[in-house]
Amino acid sequence: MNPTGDHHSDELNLRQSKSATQGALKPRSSILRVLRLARKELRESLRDRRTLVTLIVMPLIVYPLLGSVVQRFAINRINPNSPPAIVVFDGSIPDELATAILEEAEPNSDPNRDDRAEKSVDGADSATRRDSVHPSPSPQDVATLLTGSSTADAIGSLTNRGDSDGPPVRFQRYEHPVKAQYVEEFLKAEDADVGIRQTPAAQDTTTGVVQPADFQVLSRSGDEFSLRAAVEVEERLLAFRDRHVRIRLNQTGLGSGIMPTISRQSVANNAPKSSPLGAFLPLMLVLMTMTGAVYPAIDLTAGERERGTLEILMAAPVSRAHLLTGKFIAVLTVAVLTAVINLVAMVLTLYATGFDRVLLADGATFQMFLQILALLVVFASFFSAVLLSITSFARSFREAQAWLIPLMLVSLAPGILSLMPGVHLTVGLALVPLVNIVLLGRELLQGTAATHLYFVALLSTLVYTMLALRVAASVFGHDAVLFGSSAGVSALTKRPGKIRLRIPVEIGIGWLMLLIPLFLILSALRSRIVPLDNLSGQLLLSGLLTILLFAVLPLAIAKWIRASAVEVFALHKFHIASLIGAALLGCTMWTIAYQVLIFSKAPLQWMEILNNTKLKELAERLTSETPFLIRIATLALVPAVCEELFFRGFLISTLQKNEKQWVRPFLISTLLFAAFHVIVDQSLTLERFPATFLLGLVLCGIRFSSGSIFPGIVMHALSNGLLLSLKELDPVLQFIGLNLNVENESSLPTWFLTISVLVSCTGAGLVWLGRKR
Amino acid sequence: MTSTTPSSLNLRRKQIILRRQSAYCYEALTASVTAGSKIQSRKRTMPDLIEAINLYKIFATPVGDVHAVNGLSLNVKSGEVFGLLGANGAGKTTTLRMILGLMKPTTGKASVAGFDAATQPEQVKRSVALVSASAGLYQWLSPRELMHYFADLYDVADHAAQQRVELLTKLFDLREFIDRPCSGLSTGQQQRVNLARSLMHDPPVVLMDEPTRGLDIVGSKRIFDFTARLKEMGKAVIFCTHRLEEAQRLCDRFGLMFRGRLQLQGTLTELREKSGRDSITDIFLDLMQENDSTTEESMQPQPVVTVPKREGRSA
Repeated sequence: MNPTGDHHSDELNLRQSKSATQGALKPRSSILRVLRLARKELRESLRDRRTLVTLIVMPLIVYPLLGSVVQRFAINRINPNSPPAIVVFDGSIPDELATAILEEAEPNSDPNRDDRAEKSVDGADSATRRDSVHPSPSPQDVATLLTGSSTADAIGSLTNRGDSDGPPVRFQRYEHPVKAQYVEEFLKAEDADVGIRQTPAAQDTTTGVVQPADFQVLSRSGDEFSLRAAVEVEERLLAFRDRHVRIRLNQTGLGSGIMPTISRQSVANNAPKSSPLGAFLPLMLVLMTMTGAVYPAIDLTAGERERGTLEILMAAPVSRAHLLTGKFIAVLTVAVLTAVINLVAMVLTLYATGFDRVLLADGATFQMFLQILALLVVFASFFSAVLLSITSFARSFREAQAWLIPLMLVSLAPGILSLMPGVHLTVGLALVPLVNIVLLGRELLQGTAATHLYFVALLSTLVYTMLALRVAASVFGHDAVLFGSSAGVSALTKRPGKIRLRIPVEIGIGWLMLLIPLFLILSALRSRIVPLDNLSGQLLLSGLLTILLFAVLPLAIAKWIRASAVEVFALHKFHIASLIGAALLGCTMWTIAYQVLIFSKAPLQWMEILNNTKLKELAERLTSETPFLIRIATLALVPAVCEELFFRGFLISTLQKNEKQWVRPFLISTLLFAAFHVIVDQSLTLERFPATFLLGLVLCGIRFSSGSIFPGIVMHALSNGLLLSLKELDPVLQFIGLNLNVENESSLPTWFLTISVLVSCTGAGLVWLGRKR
Repeated sequence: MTSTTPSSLNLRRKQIILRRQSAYCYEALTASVTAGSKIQSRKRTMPDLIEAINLYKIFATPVGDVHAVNGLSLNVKSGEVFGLLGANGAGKTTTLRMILGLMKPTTGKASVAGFDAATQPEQVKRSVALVSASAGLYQWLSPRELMHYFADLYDVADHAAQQRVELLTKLFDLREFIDRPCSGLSTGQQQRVNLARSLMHDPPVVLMDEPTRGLDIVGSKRIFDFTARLKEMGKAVIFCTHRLEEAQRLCDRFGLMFRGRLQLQGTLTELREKSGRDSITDIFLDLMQENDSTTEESMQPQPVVTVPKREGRSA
């Protein structure tokens, strides 16, 4: 303060500004406010040199470096200025033939040479090539001869330029011919790059059969240059032989018309090339985006705490959600900036080195650039949210870094998985965070990405973002974290003295975020354990998986954090009326759900994903190949119990702040419930959404009104069970005059629906009567 | 003025009361310039800006419950400095956090300027400035940007914020480094910036949590001058410290806190009368000895019996 200043005038000033401040306390719109908060966070991040290094310097160094390394590597293989290949000849090979092979710039280019060759290459009918380290000669079969050299193709495919594009190999003859048995030694000693030896033509004196000459082209194994040269020599030999044969045929009067012509042509590749480099690029971009976001995320959360500014932030009249949103915007901006700079640096490097034509199906187009950018923006938002939710736990910079190392390792695993050539983006994988982005990036680069998968991946990543943000908002600045009492992660490790009545939001949503990818990945692994055609085994496994993920682990979590299982899973007593009502609903709701399903199929008919013959087939096989009891147990009883425990127990307990709040928790839980049922066997069945959503709402209603989970289980089991046993129930239904035509998916008769609705209403009424008071 | 049913009508009324009150503070302030003695009698009739009634805070720990604050009641008027004194771990900071609405009391009630800390934390926070020695600055921002950021946090309009920055710059003599990054400032300069930013929203109540911790004589002197100025300006101040001599010079009334309990409360004269001792330090030492012999087990975790619920979260 100003000790010499005029106190009185200061006071007057303060008074004047007082009235101004009072009048100015009009609340701003919350968006504007959040943006102003974000401005400070951005300023802080962007002025920090450490952020700038990852943001600008890294991409400017990494991509050109990477590009030049790869380029050097590639140039070494096809360098036009590389030294000529030394060819050593077996002394028995006629000199004219050797000269002809070495001087031939292009096969078939000079037909005048044919005569000359004809004289010298007498009896050269077979040419083979072999590697010196594998001495047994591997004669190439007819198929290889007809399609051209497979080895040359492999090299050509690396650059996708084909043989004609590559610079020709120059040859130089070894000073003098050597004996056939020493050719191999010359190669081993690296005195020569290619060796040619022959077994001369011979005539069996007893039978008079002519044994044709056998040429062997030798290359040094493991030496790309030597191999390339050997392939070239082999081609020339083959061309030479063909011309020779043609001339001989003409001479004998048979005509060369019977000789098949062989030509080589390169064709654009339609099948997805699984170039490892093509998969590496998106992973690289993703990793760089991650590193860009890490530093600001730590600085803006754990850094606040370390500087002692978090407490004064908490003392300000601004909600934690607003503060966190401001920070999220800042981290996201930095991450997106990193992504853009990286993408631009990468595309420029690709252009400069000419690799875009090699790695990308259509070269680097602007549309692809935008698509990948959109992908990266969504991924950046997801990763920023995850980062914030983790760094918010940390008390210091160091602790935050310690937390992040496992996260980075964990996120590397799916990234590496997606590098594998056999892995393709399916609906299931499109829902697994990180994997979906890397796989989609790869398929975008190859031009094979399916539109619906693109949107599934983007949407699911957005959903994960929201979940992670929710966790972050409940963790960031939590009084317990700030003041060192038990909550957050410490709730998992320390365990409080008292029994909890609810699952804390960060733990519940954290489990949900783990559950979805776990469920999808484990479901996909099912076929590895039990063969796909063993349907009963598959069903039992999926039942076990459901029990594990939806019931056992949530129960274990509740036990571990000392939450009361009775409260969390609503294992309360209930009125008998609500049980009867739920049973009535279970007996009749399926008809309504069935009708909804049929109605919702009509508007969605045009979508490709719905005409899924594979699924239909699967459903038919299910009914015909598995015992009824297994079907009922794994598709009705287990899901009824486990899903009720999870969706109407664990999840509601997580989402509810108190007993009275129910609209939002129920809606979110039902949405998730319906979304889970849309994914069937790695496919999307959107038409199931409305029906399951309706059923989910009814189940929530029962849970709310009875205060217990048990009536819901009864209804769920009955409903699923009846739908499953329609075939078995057919005689009964026929008896009451109902001819269900399930195969044709026709609507139910009106009278039957009316009765169902009436019984359902009665059931709902009974449930209401038995409500918890 | 502490209503239990918050409604928009009540809120509006409270805001009006708050404004009148601050206007009244200034009347009182100008009166004090002319007639110093008059103010004492008028202050008595003023409503309390800070009020805490029977506050309890119980932390659940693995070994049992710890009573951090144990039935604390206090009240502070406008233009009054209340010294909350106690050793480390006595529950001073927890008390401040409950008054500020950062932490919900297990039972009991705290209110600031008529707003209930538990149910209207936002209004409470708007009326309070928190000054803490441990509070840091943002290294990459300049003091000006920092003050504007706090104006944003407290929702102060731009033109008002600019006026405030000008005024506080003058008051704390920040002009020469107002646009330099905070990382380059000396400790004393950082302290002045910290005090300035706490007053950006011009609150009627100031809570000071060990503001002199780790400061040298010049820094401490600045805090005393600042507190004296706040008093002149009619703010209600709670001054938390464990340095008793400095509190004795500064505060109007004292609360001696020991193991979560406010053992003694009153003006220096009242405390002297009660204890028969002259200095706060002696009174405090007596108190500690008394407690050591009687309530040795109070620091031990006690099984909780009467607490209905685990504490919720702050807003």
